[in-house]
Amino acid sequence: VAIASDEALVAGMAAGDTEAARDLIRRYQARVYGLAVAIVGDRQVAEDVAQEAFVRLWRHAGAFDPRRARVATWLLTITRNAAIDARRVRRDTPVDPEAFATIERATEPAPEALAVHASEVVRVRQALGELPTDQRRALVLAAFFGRTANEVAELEHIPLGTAKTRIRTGLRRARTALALDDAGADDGRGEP
Amino acid sequence: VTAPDCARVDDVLAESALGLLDGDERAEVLAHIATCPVCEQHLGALASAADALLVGGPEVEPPVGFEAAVIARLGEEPAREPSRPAAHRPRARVLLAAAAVLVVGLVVGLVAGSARWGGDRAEVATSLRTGDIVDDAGVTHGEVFAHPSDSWLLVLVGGEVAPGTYAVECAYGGSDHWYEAGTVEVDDDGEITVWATSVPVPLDDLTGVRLAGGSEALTATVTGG
Repeated sequence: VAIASDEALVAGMAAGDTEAARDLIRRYQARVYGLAVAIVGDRQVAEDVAQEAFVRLWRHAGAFDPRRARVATWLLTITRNAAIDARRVRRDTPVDPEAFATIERATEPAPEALAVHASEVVRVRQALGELPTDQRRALVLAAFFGRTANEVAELEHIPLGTAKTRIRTGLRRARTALALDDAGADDGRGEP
Repeated sequence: VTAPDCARVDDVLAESALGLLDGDERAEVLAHIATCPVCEQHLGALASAADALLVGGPEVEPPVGFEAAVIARLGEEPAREPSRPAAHRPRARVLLAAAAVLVVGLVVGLVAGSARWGGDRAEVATSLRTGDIVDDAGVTHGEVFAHPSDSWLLVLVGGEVAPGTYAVECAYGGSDHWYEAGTVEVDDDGEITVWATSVPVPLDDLTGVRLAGGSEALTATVTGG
C-alpha cells in the first residue's frame, strides 16, 4: 500500500478530509506531543498544546505552500511556538529527566518507528551526536525543552555567558553538520 | 526602543532563532537587523538550523484518545472552502525576518513618537500591506501591518477598545473564511496594545483581519503590498 506524502495529506486537510488529518496525526502525534511535553513539562498542558498545533495546521492547510517549508518542520515549529507561549505563564516547569535522557541517547540512530522520515531524524540526531557533550546538552535544553540561556546556566551550573556560547556554537555547528550552510551563510563569527 | 549594536544583538541571536525571546526582546532584535544585513543573515541561518533540528526532537506517545480529541476539535472548525494555491514565492527565512523588521521598526517609531495611527509610512508603504481596524461605526481603533512575503503579522489596537481576549483572524484573497492566527489580550490600562505573530502561510493576499470575541466587532480591510 502506498504511503501518502505529508504534502498530500495536508492537501487533503485543506479540502476538509478528516481521514487525511487522522493519518497525519498518527504520523506525527508522538513528535508533536513529545516536543510539547518537553517544553511545558505538564502532560495535560502538553496535550492541549499538541491538539492546538494540529488544529492550527488544519486551519492553515489551504494556504500551505510546500515550496516554502516541509510539513514536519512547519508542524513542529507551530508546536514549539505554542508550547513556549504556554510555558511563559508557568515558568517553574522542571526538565523531565526521562525525556532528557531519551534525547541524550537519541544521538544514536533509532531505526524503529521512523518509517516515514527515518533519514531526516537520523541526520538530525547524528548532527547532535557530533557536538561536544556540553554544547549538545545546552542546545538540547534550548531547542527541545524551550529553556532560555538563563535557565540553561542554572540547570548546568555554569555562568550565563558560557551558556549562551554553548547554545550559539552548538546551533552553528549543527547547521554545518546538517549541511544547511550555503554561500554567504558563514558570517565569520565562528567560535572555538 | 533604541537599536542596540551588533554585539548586543549577537548575544541573543541564537535564542531568537530558537523562539525563546519574549516580544520586547524579539522586537529589539528585529529593529536592529532592519539596518544590519550581517546580523539579518546570521539570524536567518540560525533560525533555519533551529527549525530543522525539531524533526529530531523527543517522541512521546500521547494519551489514549488524543487522535479522537483532535478530530473532534477539527469538527468544531468552520466549514472548509476549496483550497487555494499559495503564491509561488520561494525565499529564504532571512527575508521573512527582514520584512518583519520593517513592521517592527514602524511600530517602534509610532509608539516612541507618541504618534497615533497617522504616522508617516512613506518609507515602507510600498512593501507593507496595511489596514485600519475599525468598529461597526467606522471609528478607527488600530492598525494592521503585514509584509507581502512575510510570515509576520502585527496588530496595534488602541486604548479605547474594551478590555478582553480577542481572537485575531485572517482572511485571504477576499474570502470570507477566517483563519485564527492567535489571540491578543487587551488590558484595561488604556495603553496601545502591540501584538505580533508568525503566521505559517504567506501573507501575499491577506485581505482582511478581524478581532473577534470582544463586545465590539473590529475589522480591518488590508490593502497595499
